[in-house]
Parts: sequence; C-alpha cells; structure tokens
Amino acid sequence: MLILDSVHTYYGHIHALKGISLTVNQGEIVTLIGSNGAGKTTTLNTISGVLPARAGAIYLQENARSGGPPAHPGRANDSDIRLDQLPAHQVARLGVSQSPEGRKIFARLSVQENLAMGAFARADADGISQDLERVFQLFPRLQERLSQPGGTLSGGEQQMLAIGRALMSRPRILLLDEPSMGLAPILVQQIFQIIREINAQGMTILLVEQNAQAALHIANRGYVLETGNIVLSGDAQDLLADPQVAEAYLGI
Amino acid sequence: MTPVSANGAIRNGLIAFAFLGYLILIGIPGRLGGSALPVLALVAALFFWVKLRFDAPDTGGAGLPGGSAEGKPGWQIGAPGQSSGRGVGALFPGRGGTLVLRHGLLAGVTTGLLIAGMSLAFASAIGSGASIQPVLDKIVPVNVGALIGVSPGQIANDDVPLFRYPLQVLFFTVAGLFAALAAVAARARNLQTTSMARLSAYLDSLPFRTTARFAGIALPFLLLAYIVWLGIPGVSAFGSNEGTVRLLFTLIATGSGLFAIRLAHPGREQKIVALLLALGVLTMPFILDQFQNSVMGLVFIFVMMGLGLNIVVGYAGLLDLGYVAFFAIGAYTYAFLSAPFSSPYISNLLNLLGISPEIPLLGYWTALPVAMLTAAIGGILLGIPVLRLRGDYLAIVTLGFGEIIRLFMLNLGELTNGPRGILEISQPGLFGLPPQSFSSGLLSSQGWIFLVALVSSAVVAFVAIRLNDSRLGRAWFAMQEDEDVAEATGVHLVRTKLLAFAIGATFAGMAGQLYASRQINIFPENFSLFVSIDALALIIVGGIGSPAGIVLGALALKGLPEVLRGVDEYRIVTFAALLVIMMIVRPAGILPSARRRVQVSPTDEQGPTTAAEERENDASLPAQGPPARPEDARSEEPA
Repeated sequence: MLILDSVHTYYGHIHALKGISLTVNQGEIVTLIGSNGAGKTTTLNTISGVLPARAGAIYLQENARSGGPPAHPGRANDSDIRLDQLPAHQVARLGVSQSPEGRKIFARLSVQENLAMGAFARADADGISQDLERVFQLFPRLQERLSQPGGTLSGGEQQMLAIGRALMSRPRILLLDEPSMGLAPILVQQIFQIIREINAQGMTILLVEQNAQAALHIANRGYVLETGNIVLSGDAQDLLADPQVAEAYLGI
Repeated sequence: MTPVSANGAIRNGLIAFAFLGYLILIGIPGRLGGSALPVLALVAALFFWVKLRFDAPDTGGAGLPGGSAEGKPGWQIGAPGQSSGRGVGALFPGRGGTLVLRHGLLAGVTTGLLIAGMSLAFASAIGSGASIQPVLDKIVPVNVGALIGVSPGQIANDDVPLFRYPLQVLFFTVAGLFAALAAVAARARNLQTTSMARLSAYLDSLPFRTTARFAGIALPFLLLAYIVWLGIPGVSAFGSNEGTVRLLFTLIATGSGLFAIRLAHPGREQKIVALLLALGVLTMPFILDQFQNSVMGLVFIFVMMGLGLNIVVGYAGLLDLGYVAFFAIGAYTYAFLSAPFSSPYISNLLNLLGISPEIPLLGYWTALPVAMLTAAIGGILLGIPVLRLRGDYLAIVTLGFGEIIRLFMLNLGELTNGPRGILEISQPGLFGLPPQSFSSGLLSSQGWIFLVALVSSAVVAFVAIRLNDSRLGRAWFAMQEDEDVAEATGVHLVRTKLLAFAIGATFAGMAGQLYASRQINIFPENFSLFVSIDALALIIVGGIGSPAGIVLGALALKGLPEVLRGVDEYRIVTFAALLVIMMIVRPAGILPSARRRVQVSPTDEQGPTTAAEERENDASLPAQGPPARPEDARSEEPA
C-alpha cells in the first residue's frame, strides 16, 4: 500500500537517504531498524512530507483511500498517488499519520484538544466520536486526563497521547517513530502490546525503532538501515535469527 | 527568616511610616490632592504584603516535601487534595495564618496612628498660627492638607472634623489586614492552585453559599461604582484632581468587574456577573465627563488593538512589532472616505469608477467594512513575505513594515497630505442620524465615542473568545507549539498563518477607524512604533492569550498614565515602577489564560503528575486506579 522507490533526501548538502526502497503491504507491521543517524526518522519525515524528497518516488496505492486492497499490491501503478509531490498537510489528509519521534504532543493544549488536532482534517462528527471512543478503549488513562494540558502528562502518557492523536485521523497507514524512547521497560512492553492490538484491528503500521528486538518480535517484516542505505530486509523472524543483525542490533 | 513578633510588626509599621513620611516630604500627596490618603494606604499595603511574604513563617504545607514554593515568583502554589479544614480555617492552617494576620494588623495600626498623629500635629500647629521651619513651609502644609482632605486655607479657617483622624487609622489598618490576607492566601498550599481558585473556593465554603458568593463577587464592584459616583465618605473633597481620581476609580471598578467574572462559577453565575458588569460599564459613558470619557474611549480602542494583536502573537505565536501599520491603514482609509481632503489619486479613481465625489463619501458604519477589508489586505500583504520567518527575524521584518507604512503616510504627500495630516474626519452617526444628535444632553461627544468603542470591542472580544475555542484556534495553538507536527496533522500552514495576520489586522483596522474619528484630525506621527509597543506591552501585562487580561492590560497601560498626570514629572517613573512590580508579582500577566499558565511554570507543582513523580507513576501504571484530580478534591470541600 505504501511504496518507496529509491528515495533520496538531503539536509542541505548532507545526503541523508541514499536511495531507499521499501514496501509496506496492507495489514502489515513493517519495522525499520538501525543505529543512530541511520536515517530512520528521516525516512518517516520524508514519507509524511515534512522533509521533501529530492529524488525518487513515494506512492500511496490507489485503493488505499477507499480501504479496499490495491489492484497491484507491492507494485507502483500510474493511478497511485505520488506522496513526494504533495505538501505535508495534504499527505496527512490522504491518511498517512505520523506519531513523531519524541512524542511532540502540543504541550499547552489539553489532552482533548490534542486528540481533536489529530482529527483536524476530518469533518464527520460521528466518526470522530467513534474514534475517540476507540482511543479511550486503547488508552483508558487518557480519558482520565482529558482536560489536563498535554505537557503535564508523564512520558508514557504522552506517548499514548501521541499514538492516540495519530489514530484520530483514522489513518490508512500509521507511522510510529520510536514509541519506546525514554520509557520504563514495563511501559515499553505495554506500548508494544497496544501497537499489536491496533494492528490486529486492521491498521497498517510502519514502525521505526531502536529497540530492534522488541520491534522485530511484533513485526511481520523488517528493513535494516545503515547510513542512509537499506542493507538487509526480510521476514522479521529471519532477521531475528540473522547472526549479522543479532550482533549489530540485538546486543547478543 | 525573622520570627514573627509584636516588635517585628511594630518595626514594620515604623518602616512603612518612615517611607510614607518621605513621600509626604517630597510632595507626592500634595500633587495627588485629596486622593492622597487611599493612595498612600495602597503603597503601605504593598509594602506590608512584600514584608509579610518574606518574614512570616511557613503556613500550612505540613507533610508536603520541601519548600519548593519558596521564592518562586508567581502564584502557582499548591498541591490539591490536602485540605485540612473548611472555610476560613482552610485559609489559615495552623497558627501561622493567624500570626501573619495579627502581624499585618499591628503594623497597619502602627502606621495609621503615626500618620494620624503627624497630620493632627501639623494641623493644630498651622491652625494655631505656628510657623513651621521655612524650608518646609512651602510644601509640608499642602501635603498634610491633602492627607486630611482639606486645603491649607481651610485648616486656618475651619476646624478639621475629628473623624478624619480615626479614618486615617482605619485606612492603614485595613491596608495591613488586606496585605496579611493576601500574603496568607498566597502561602496557603492546601487549597487550589491559583489565587483566584483559592478565593473562589473560600467563597464556596461560606454558609448561605449563593448569597455569599454573589455578595463577595458583587460587593467590590458596587462599592467602587458607588465611589465613582459619590466619592469617598469623609474624603469627599477630591481637590483639584477630582477628575483623575474618578478616572482611577472607574479603571479599578472595570478591572475588578473582570476579576469578578473570573471568580464566578462558569455557567449561569458567570453570565449574571458578566451581565451586571456590562450594564455597569455601559452606563459609564453617561456619567463620566469629557476628559474621563476620552481616556476610556482610548482604553477601549486599545482593547481592540490588544485583542487583534493577541490573535497574531498570543494565539498563532507570530511576534508582530509592526502592528501599528494596520491601525494606520484603518485610520487613513476612514479618513479618505470621510474627510473633506481629497487626494487627486482618489478622485481620479472615483471618476474612473463613475462615482461623483461628495463629502463624506461613506458614513462611519458603511466605511467600517471597507476599513476592515483594506487592513486585512494589508495583513495578508505582510504575511506573504514573512511566512518562512520565525522568532526574532519575524519581529524585525514586521517592525520594518510598520515603519514603511508610517513613512508612506508621511511622504506620499499627494495621497495622504503628508505631515499636515487629514483634518475634519467625521464622527460616527447611527441609523442616518447625524453625530451631533448623540453628543448632546446626557452623552458628551467623547462619551459617544466611548460607547461606540465599548460596543465594538465587545464584538471583537466575542469573536476572539469564539476563535480561541474553535478549530482554527486549535490550529493556531498547535502551530505555535510545533509547526512541523501541526502540518503533519493536516494544518495548512500558509492559510492558517495568513488568516491570523488577516484577522488580527482586521481588528486593528476597526480600532484605527474609531481612533481617526476620535481624534478628528490624524497625522503620521499618531502611528509611530510606540503604538505597536503599547499594544504588545498591554497584552503581555494583561496576560497573553486571555481576552479579560487584555482589557485589564489596556486599563493599566492606557488608563493609569492619565491618572498619574496628577504627579506630573514623576508620572513615567511611577508608571514604570508599577509595571516592574506587576511583572514580578504576576509574571504571566494580570489574568493569564489557562494555556499560558502551563507554559510559565512548566513542570513542578502542576497538577498530580510532577516531573519527580513521573517515574513512579509510569512503573505502577497498570495497577493504579484513577488519581485524585483537583476537581475531586474541591467538590468534597463544602460537604
């Protein structure tokens, strides 16, 4: 449903992504692992349009909008939408929703307003309140803190809020950037549990993680990123078993 | 820290008296006239308040870790759910509170007795014809006369009524008591987080709750309104500065009304208080004289400016230092449409459009949309080039824009008549009635302008408040927090920013038009950088993002300097000192918005989850039930 075709991204003169190609199919959890500075966050920011890609193409497959399966899964087609040519706010409106690295919730808006910002591009009041219910089912904690400013939440709650906010746009694909960053181990477990739950409800997820082990355990497939290049890819189980990956990223 | 003792209290009283005596010697009361006494009492109260806050022992807070609230500026003190009692008892936990109160009382009585004694001594000395030391001869009698509310001539001829001296004692005692109350309220950590909430909770705890609340809310306003109309009993002779004193009380009454709205419970009670305040303020133009009306008119023109700038700066977070440009555009647009001066450009344009030029071209109300529209276009024109700029760079560019517009007005002689300005701008009429029909009888001409300013700023305030809670308002706040994330949630940054500039400019255009008709003649110098700075300062002083705070800021920044005209050359110094004190006492502004309060004190003591507790909370997350919230703690309180 999401296809990146040799995408190049620059920060000024710095060549950050050197031709990334990857595919995310409907209903999958795909994880992108790699060390610091490998370009994981850059990849997500390029997809969501916050950073413009200088070369290459990003496709959102045509049926992704209507929710049906794409006619040519995994293969770009002329009728697909070129995300790399759209500004960020239009990408968001097409159903690509990002939960950014470091949470980045709106600290001075209340929890409720943060969630409302997630649904900013939507006008269907009924659908929004349905999704709000769903977010509260996933994160009962948020309902308790509804009128509290986002900045006063704890780190774990902020992460929940960031994911909740991303879900509020009723996305076709959810981009999660380091959801476990800076959290206590028990919370990491909980967050990953919830990610799996969201996926079980049919959400397609592209997950960027430093915690490679946890990410590979819940993912269907994985890509290993190194200094802007994809060096390895395959089924998550195979990657977990791969000695190279184990040595470099799993700390075994 | 000094322990509180009777000696300490008396010492405080003596220091206050020495300070006030110094003010009397340099002639401040003489310049203030009959209002000297309440003003000096206010100065004393401020002094006591500062002393008590730093001297008094820690009140309450038993069992709370650390003195993290100590020395912290602002009012963000208190963890909820720690109530140890009800009603007055809750405000004064332990003996600390009563001690502070007694301390304040004693200091106040000391000062009052000394002041009364001093003025009695001087009055009797002058009354009996005793000559005082030649150097002091010129100033001291005037000052003492002002203190006891009579002119020097009266002292010689008439006896000063005896009750003036107890009145002086009473004034300073009350000042000490108020200061102590405020100091205790600020220190009590066991109630609500803000002083407003604490006061409101206190009112809640009284018997006959509803009556008490209404009385507590309405009394200050009624009292002040009464003073405005009738004067202070016993100090009824306002002296030569009666006009400015009435103005001062008008400002305070309006401001206290706004506080009352904040104090009331949201919902019906708040609506009733707001309605009462609106009625009170709407009668002002009919009561005040020409001078007071003209000041109040200016104040409310700046309320509109502040509310508009607040959209750009407070809501959208774009620092605009050239806001005067839109004010000028609004003013000049109306001037072109309503003044006899006609520039060749405009008459050519009219000929082109086939309209025969007649004067005035448009009335006030028909010109209003035109002025708003041109200002909005100006806002968009400024917005487009600065879209990519943030922070300091944005401030510099907007600063330049403001100057460009002013220089245009100054140098485009054929279009704007240059430095000679545009004269004889017409006044607003209504329903085809000429302006003159409003400025006769009950309503003075400035009163009419004040009334128009009131209604216009009410409209602007309504729009601003609705915007605050709207989808667009949320988009602005989100953009202010983080542009990238806001864009990634679907906010169209360009459109959202330009809307902020355009709506802000529209309000300034409205204000500018009213300003032009208030001034009748406008010149480019009316639109200097200082107008922008005033508008920005008033929203910072009032509390960025909070409409009620902005009205208070305008009252303080545009109203107070006029009141202080009584102190002549000390005016700006006094005003500056007041501003500095205000920003120390309330760093987030007089009435900060809820959102701003969060930013000003980011982590500690904010609600149940503090930075320190964060880790434990996280660890025990699955097992923990819902935490006690401030609302819960509060609702249990009156039970």
